[in-house]
Amino acid sequence: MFISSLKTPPEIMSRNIQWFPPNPQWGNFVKAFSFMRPSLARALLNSTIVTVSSVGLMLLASSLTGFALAKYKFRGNRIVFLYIISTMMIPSFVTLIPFYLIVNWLRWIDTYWPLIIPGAVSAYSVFLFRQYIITIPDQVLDAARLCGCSEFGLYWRIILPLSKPVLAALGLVNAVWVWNDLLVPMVMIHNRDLYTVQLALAGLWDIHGQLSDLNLVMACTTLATLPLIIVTIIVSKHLIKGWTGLSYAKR
Amino acid sequence: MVEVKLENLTKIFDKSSVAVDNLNLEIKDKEFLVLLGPSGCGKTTTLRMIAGLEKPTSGNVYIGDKLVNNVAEKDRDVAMVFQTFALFPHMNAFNNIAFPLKMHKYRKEEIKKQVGQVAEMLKISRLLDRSPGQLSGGEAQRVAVGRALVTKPKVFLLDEPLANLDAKLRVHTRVELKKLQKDIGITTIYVTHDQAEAMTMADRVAVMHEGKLRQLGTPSDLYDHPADLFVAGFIGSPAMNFMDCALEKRNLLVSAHFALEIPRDFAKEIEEHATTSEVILGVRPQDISLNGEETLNSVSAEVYAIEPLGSETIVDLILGEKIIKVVMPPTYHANAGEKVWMTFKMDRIHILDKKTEKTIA
Repeated sequence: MFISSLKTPPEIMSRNIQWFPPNPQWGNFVKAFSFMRPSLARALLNSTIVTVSSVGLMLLASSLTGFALAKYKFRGNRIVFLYIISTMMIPSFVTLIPFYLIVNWLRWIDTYWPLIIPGAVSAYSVFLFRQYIITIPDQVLDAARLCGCSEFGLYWRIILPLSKPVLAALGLVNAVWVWNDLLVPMVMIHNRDLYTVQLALAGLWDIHGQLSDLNLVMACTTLATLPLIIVTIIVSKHLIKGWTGLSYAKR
Repeated sequence: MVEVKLENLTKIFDKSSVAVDNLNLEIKDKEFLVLLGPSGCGKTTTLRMIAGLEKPTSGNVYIGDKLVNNVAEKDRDVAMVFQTFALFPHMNAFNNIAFPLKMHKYRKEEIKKQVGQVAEMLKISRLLDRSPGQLSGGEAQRVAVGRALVTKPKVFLLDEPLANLDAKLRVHTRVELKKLQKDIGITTIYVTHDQAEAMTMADRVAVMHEGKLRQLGTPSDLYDHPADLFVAGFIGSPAMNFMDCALEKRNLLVSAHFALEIPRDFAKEIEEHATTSEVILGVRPQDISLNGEETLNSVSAEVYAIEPLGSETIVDLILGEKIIKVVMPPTYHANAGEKVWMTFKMDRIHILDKKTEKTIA
């Protein structure tokens, strides 16, 4: 993908496979920004707004819910947990039309909200947070309480810092999911200025009829992938811990 | 003056399991009180109720004359050290100790000063930038003590703080803890199941069993004058030997395997206080001597095994179906199957009522 974005159209179509073009067309990346409608910059901004807010809300909501389910005794704790888990069994396509109707009723069509809010609630993330937080010993929380820590303080000063691996792992996976999602934006967004990157890429077909400038398409795609790669590198340290040792351990 | 008073304290879990049953206890100012009992006896629950981590089902907790039933844990001015130390793994030792100060909104310089003082006192100044994972058990324990003491609490609670240390360190640390407590003069309640810890550290020991207070007294009280069968069997190592028997004639204790003449005043006590003539004779392994041949008023038994410990030798004897343990000097030697005669130190024997399990004499 990256190499193709540095080629000229004939080079891409050529039967002589070239691993690296003799004249890399770095200018393709500049052209890529004006190749799409909306501009790639605008689409990237849209995707960033949606992804950051959706993932941010998801991490906040899931960790709070997971904390409550893991560490507080209240009537119906188990039922709430099972209920949340059971929603994982419903495929998202089944709920797409009701979802559209609700969004329409809320007058949220052509806004960021339908792309942000649904992703902020994730049964899987709640499950993962709960399972992780349950392994943090109660005595640690009791100790903090006796030190004068409030219940929200427990969450903020103890639970969250200790949950870094889960935050990183879930944050990244959900970011990739939201960033790459095409279906929901396609259904909910008609205004081209609000197009996410994926939608804009898919829309290239509409604008250009046929994809003649494959090199520019590849340049767009590369640039659309780049943010995720950067984020992955940043959180990779915590990521491995998050997926392999999903339990609090003496550190 | 900080006294802790527990009044008819009861804790029932899940409506049926009684953890603490109508406990009345007064802990004096600056006293080192040990709550001693086997696991599940309610001692940790009691401690947690004093700390405010557990709400009593009924009864009252007073800290220094003030009823604290409805006072939040953080406002009770108590500090606690947990069995697992419960250090915050994402903070280094300094931040662990500083945490309660930060929670109470102390100024930065003040925090630094106070943590420094506590670290100095506990000799952990060089460990302050280490994370809990880099601390040994003993070091982590001292950091946990530091975190508890840094706010200068009124009451110091310890929940089996030595259980996670190795045997050698434990013996060393219990002396240190005891000295520390005397130095700062803080009212301390210490929970343990280890009677050696209780005996060595406590000013007074409260023995608990099945949620009830069995006996409260100084370590030597408990050892010399146990109130009932449970305390008699729990305190002392190896445990006290018990033999079922009955008083016959004037002062003769008789069982299927022996007849033993006891001092007249013991017999009198039995006659006056026992519910029936059935009693239990209790003798500590240290209060029995062994002879190769029969002596006056001795009981014969068969050697079952010898446990040489270096400083002493424990001899296991068979008397009927029971094993009787005797502590002998390390030079003692006998072979399994050999017949020996036990003589009891008559002024050290204990007589318990078989029915009520209370001590008679």
